Amino acid sequence: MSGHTSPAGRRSLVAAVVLAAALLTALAIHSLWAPSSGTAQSASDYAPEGAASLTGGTAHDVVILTVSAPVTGTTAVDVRLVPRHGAATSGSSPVVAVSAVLPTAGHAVPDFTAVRASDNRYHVAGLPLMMPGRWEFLVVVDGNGRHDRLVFPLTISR
Amino acid sequence: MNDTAARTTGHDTPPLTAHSPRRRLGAALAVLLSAMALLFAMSPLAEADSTAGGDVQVAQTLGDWELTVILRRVTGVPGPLHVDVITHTGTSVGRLKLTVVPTGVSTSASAASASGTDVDTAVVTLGSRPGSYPGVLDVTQGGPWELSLSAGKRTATIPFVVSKQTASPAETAVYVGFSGAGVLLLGTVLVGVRARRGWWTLVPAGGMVACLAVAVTGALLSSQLPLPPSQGGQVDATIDGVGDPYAYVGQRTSDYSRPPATLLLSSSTVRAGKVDDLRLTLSDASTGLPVDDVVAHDGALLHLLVIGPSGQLWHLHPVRTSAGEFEVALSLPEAGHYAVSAEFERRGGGVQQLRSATGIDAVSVSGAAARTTSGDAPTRAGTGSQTVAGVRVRLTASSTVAGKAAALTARVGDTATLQPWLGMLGHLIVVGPVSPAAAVGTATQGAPVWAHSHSMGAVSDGDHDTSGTDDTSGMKGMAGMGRMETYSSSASPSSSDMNSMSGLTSVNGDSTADETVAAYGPDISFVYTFPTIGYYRIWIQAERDSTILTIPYLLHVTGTSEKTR
Repeated sequence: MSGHTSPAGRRSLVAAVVLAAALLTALAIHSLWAPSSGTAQSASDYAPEGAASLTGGTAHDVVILTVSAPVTGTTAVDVRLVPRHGAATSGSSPVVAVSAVLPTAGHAVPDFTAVRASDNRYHVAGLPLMMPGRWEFLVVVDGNGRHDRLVFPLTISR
Repeated sequence: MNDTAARTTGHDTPPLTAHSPRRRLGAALAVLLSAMALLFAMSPLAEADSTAGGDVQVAQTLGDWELTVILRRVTGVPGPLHVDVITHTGTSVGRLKLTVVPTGVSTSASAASASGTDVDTAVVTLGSRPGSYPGVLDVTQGGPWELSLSAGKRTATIPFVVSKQTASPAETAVYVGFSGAGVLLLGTVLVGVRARRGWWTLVPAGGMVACLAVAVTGALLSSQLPLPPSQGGQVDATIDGVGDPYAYVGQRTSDYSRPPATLLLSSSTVRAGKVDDLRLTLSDASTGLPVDDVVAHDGALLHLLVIGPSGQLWHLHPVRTSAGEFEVALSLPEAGHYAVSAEFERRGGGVQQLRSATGIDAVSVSGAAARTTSGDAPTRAGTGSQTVAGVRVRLTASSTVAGKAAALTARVGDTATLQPWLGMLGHLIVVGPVSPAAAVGTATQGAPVWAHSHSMGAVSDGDHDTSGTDDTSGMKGMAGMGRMETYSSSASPSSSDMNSMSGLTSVNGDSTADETVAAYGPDISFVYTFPTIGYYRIWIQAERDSTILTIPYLLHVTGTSEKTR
């Protein structure tokens, strides 16, 4: 072997190899796990313990739907309307109705008129989800000369 | 231990100044190379190429226009969406306003911030010449979108999905594994040359073997892992689901199909000779809710067939106006009963054919124009020749025996200049058995058989090889392609051109030829097995010179015993 290797040079070589190995491992783990960790973070489909929150929109509002317990059973649902810039906000508050459908099975739950909790926030206390599957949450916003129907697809995994 | 070794050898080393910067440089280079290689390997995930899926063709009957709207494949987001509007002979001059609106939902508020708002608009001016009129719109993200077409007071909306190309986890493992192995190979060489002790090389070499194992495992698995469900085609599309379909696989199932639907007409009575808007409502047969998951099928969201009292056929494509609502401007020329059916496909698969239980009754009103059916060809009894809109059409049939596959071949014109309409060279509508003398609208309202078959070119009549046609009931789409090669090309004069279908079938996800390609035919064949004996009304439809020709015939289908007798 090289007789000219200095202790400092070897140390730096060792450090470089270890660093490179660590970096490679870290990056490999990151790249392989990134999709699923992103899912756990963002898609509440896979975090049934927590609430699932989905954002959609109409020409008038950004509509945020929060399903408190996205599992089989009864769940509270909150709808928040954030008026868009420039959209008219005058007039009485609209009527918000929430329903859910499991299209592949042909199941539907009744329409629940959401109770206005505070400004732009609407609440449904108990929406029954009878089985797991790819549900569609239907939000209908009625009033002030508009009739908006939004569909929020959400997987109920268990 | 290492430190000791380093120290003991350190005595007889020359001053550090000459070597140490070079080594540091080498080490830094190795780290940099590995980082770059990994970034390169990870780049397919970050790119937003949307090569999945080809062009989307949607026929639209907007007012008195019969248009074909082609949404070209989006090759990157943000990027342009090229829309071609194809007009037919007789289309009046006008302006069409196109608007794109993202409609998706997301767990990320920023990703869905534009949902429901107009992102881009374009105006397409349709000229009097039939042809393709282009428009370009910008789409900003992957996910479900809506294209709206406005002309005057009428607006049609076409849902579509802008998809992204994503690497599967197995593919990612292959990229990362091989890139890592490459970098570690360099590292192994570097360490082997530089390190004092040989076993140091085992560290990067071991890593390289591990990387190779990951890559090979990924490569072996990638072909076997199931694909995620198609966003928009099988499951409801979301922005997140389009962005990473593998993360949103959810429950694995082989059946995504949805319940049947019911068809309601806004009115069962219209005024003869006047233009009336007919509204159709599709509702879910299980829940009664609007059916808002209709996907483009055979080049349209909804195919509406209307059969009039004198045997006229309208094959129209009502425009979607809102969830589950479709509309078409209908001008029924004469008083009498009109039978109605609709074909469409819901997300998750399965084409449905619904027949209106009521049909439409057109009543005479004072001041309305009298019969204006000058353009309609009278129905010809039996096979043979007739001229429709100046084009000579000859129909031959191998046999018309109930329960036996009948090969019907129509020669439309004399030149190979047919254009594919709705992705097919020919359409065959079969309705029967009916009384040949009865008013056609009334008779077809109660007819047990309504069929819609397609042609992708010419096949021989099959007389010389009937064994191969017995199980060919209702050749649809490409079902007959395998059989094409077994037919002798001598039976049909023009079937020497067996490449007549080239460009009509999608190979490797390529887009198929659209109506601007006038290079097919003139023979179009259909194979249909008439289920029962009796008289059948049939209509053959093909496009030539940008005109959609509808050719009616009345066929008598006999029983096997009558044939053999």
